Amino acid sequence: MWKKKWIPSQLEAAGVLGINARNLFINQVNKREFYPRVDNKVLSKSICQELNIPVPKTYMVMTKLVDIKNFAQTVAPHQEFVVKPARGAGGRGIIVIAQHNNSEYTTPGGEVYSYEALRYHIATILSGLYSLGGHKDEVIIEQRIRPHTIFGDLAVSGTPDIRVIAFNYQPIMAMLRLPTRASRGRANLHQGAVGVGVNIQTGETSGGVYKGKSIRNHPDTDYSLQGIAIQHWPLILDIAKRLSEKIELGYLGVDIVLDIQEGPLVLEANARPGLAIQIANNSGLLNLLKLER
Amino acid sequence: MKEKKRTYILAAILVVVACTVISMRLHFDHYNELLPGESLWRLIYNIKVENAPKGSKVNIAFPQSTSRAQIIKETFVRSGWAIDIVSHSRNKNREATAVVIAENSNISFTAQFDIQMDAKKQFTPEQKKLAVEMRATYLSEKNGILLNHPTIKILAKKIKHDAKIKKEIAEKVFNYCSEKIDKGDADESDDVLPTLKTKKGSCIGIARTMVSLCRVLKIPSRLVTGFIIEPKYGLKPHSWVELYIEKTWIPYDPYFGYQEATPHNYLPVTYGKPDIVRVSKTENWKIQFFIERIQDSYAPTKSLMTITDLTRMGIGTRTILSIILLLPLAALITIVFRNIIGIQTFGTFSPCLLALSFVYADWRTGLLTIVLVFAIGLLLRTLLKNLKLLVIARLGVMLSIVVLCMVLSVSILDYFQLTPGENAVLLPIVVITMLIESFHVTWEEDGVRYALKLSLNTLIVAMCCYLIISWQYLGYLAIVFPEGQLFIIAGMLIIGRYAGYRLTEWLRFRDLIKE
Repeated sequence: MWKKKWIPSQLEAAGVLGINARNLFINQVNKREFYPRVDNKVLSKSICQELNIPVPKTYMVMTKLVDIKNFAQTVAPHQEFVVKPARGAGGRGIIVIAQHNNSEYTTPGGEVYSYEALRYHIATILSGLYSLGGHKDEVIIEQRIRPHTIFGDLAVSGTPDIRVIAFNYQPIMAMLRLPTRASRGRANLHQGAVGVGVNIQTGETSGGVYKGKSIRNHPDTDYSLQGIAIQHWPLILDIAKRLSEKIELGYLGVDIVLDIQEGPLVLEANARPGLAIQIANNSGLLNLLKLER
Repeated sequence: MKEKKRTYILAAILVVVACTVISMRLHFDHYNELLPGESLWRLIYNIKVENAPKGSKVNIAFPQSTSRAQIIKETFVRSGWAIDIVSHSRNKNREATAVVIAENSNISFTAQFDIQMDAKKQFTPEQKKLAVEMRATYLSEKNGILLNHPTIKILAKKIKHDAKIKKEIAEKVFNYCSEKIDKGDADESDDVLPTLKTKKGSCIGIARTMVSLCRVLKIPSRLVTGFIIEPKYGLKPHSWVELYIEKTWIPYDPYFGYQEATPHNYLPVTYGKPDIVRVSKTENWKIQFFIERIQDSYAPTKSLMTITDLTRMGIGTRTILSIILLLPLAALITIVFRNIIGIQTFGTFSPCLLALSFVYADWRTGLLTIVLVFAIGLLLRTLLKNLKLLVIARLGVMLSIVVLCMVLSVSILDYFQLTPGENAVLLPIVVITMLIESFHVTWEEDGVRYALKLSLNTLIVAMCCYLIISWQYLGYLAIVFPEGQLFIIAGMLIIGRYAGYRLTEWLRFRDLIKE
């Protein structure tokens, strides 16, 4: 009788994967030597290109501060672009520019960066402020994604992305991540984005999670989160499968965006994907992993 | 699976090894709570007088052998003065008296006494016939002893009541002084009247009160000042009383309540006056006392096993070693908080390091200083943001600001007399600098609420670590049983393979539990 009340056994019965179990599991299935393939986005992108998996176009990669002399010239033809650290995590250090006149750069939120301010931000990235473990970093300047129209009222304050978890190179669970005002445009759940469960077979959304609580409607727009069919779903699953095979990590999170023109593009992959996806899908990962215990 | 089994086996082996070593130690019984049967200690006096005027006189009282503490060797190093070591057979005191010959001389004097202590020997009080004039001295009113005051006279009479035998009277006085007067710190009054008025006194105040009462009641008595040697804390100056009853000097310690015998670690130095050192004509002098346990070079054998005995080291070394030995325990606590409870903190081991700094300062000062420095640092960091410096240069600036704040806040606390001292400076400056930096980045990226939450968690974990590592008895155990570290490693190994849910996940995933 007492066993029924014991929360850990209830969680286990529900198939919930805890963070300790995840960490041990990752140590077991993910080889340390392959981590750079996901931790360095320059490398991840080139792997995708080898597989003909579309990625946002790279305008330039800066490894040293002197590289910035070509910056103005490179971005001149592009009205909008994204500045992003190659080794960043959790969306940290990313700046999206929606328009510029080569001296002032404006974000979609209306924040204005001077050239000097942007240069300083790039220097900060290079010195490793946003990189895992504080190592020297690189800066990627790349194409800005225009979210697909299916997201409509859901993509209010940033670009939604789709997180697919692949285990043994098979997609096992997926979630749609919607930025909110609280997350300030970023698609990370711990920063206040909404996670929406996605049926792995059909690509259709169910309810979501926001700040650790289950929700049915978008917190900013009140738009229903249920029943949206994500387009190109078979293609998305195929991308996750092929990419995880190539990266050779047994447990991998693949982040994919849907561009209005180009369809699914891979943003990045993650060797330590979070566990909130279980809450979004209202189901646990444990039974899908067939953990060796 | 294989790894899990191996880890558990390793942890089990560590526990077995630790238990074996501990039981071996206990079996060979070298490690009594207080001093082992026989132990050798070196007491050091370090006296410095600066710019001493010609003719100023320095009196230094030396420790005296008792039945259980024998001084087996004395060494003196002097510079800059003529010194004369005199034994005063009259009142048992042994003193060095020095007279400064040249004007404005800087002089120093170091005395070393090797003392052999034996806890197992019987206590034997000093038996001696008292000359008439000495008897008069021990009944007279001098050196802070008060006889001709109505308060004392009336009180003495009241305490004596109808007792007739000297021993009975002595016991009544002792009971009054040890029970009716509260033990105060060293900053409590040393004099008889304030001690009686407030019913609270320093050890000198209480001892003088007892001597005064006994002398009024015609029991020859004297104030004894000396040291208590404690293996854990080193040397503690202390004063007690001896009463001359039936041709024997019988010790009483009204402060700690010892009657007719003192513990074997009491080392008398001087009789009558409460000062171990007296310097005339100048205030510019300083004395330090140290004690350390020395390995018996006098002992016939010294085996390699001695290496495993950390208690043989000097008190300074031991204090540092005990804190270092407790650091892994603090790390284990942090690991429990992070992996079992699921509380996130800034940095993996910064709570431990903060806790360590609380040990060096006292925790109130430590906490106050950290919060103060952190707040100022954060404010300046926000201002610094506008300068758009390169990261390493900015960290350097922050480090300097933190150092400055730290020094300043120590000075401010000292000004308001809130701090015992300079130890707060030993706070881990680099840890605080990095904390400010991570707080700032977290604030910008994840919001101020999350950053505050992490700081609060960090402080909570740091305080828990502090509570553990500041526990002196635990520090003592860590020195006596260094193999206890193996338990901690075993604990870490087991947590390292712990796959269960963290406590916070019970809440986080509660919605997934199906009815």
